[in-house]
Amino acid sequence: MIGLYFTLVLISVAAIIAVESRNLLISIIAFGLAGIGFSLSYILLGSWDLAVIQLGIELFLLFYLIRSTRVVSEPETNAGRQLTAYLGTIVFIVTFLGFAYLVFRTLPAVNFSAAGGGLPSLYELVGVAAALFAAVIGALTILRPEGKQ
Amino acid sequence: MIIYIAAVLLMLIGLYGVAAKHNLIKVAIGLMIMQYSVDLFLIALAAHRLSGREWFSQLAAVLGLSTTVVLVAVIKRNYDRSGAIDITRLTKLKG
Repeated sequence: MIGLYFTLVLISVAAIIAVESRNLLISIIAFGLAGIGFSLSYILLGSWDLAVIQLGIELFLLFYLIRSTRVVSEPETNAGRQLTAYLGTIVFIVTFLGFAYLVFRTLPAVNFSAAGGGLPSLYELVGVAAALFAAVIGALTILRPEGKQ
Repeated sequence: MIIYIAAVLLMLIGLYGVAAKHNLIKVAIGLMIMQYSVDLFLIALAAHRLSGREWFSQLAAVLGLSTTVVLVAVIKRNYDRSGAIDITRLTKLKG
């Protein structure tokens, strides 16, 4: 239980660093740390299969983001636009918290180490394979050299 | 209950990254943090053996990977063409 709470704090701190850091490389590495923390929390919650999937996804995304990022420093932004963005964010957060409060009153208590699932069925595997295939085809299509005009 | 609160907190952090940051990489990271928080929420609910949530979170994780791969590909292609990673400088589609 303490380990899970420690992991959740670690994830939150890493997520804040990932969003707030001005160096993109630090952001990406902090995001990778948060993802590995998620994988650890899934293990502590008893969902081993999702933890393995999460770990694989996180490692792939970490390499992919580091490979794709060419600009390391964050660009300077207009102060007026930044103020508008902050105001919009506050509106979104207040709206989300209002709905979250309504949902929180109906949530059941968490039963630890009972979240493990069984083996996925064939349909689920086909769905996962189709999603990955579509992603690879989409990325290759976008990143291809200029084709015939 | 603390897991639910952590999921909401992470959702808010991701929302802040998506709504307040102008860097496209930060927006992608914010989206992924939001998606991970939803996965954590579903796993906390799946502890009750309610039908479908466990495998749905697996599918959601893979779908999140797929969307992020395509999103980063779009960001990279956009940077190659315009040289900008700031969303306020991408004005060619502005109406």
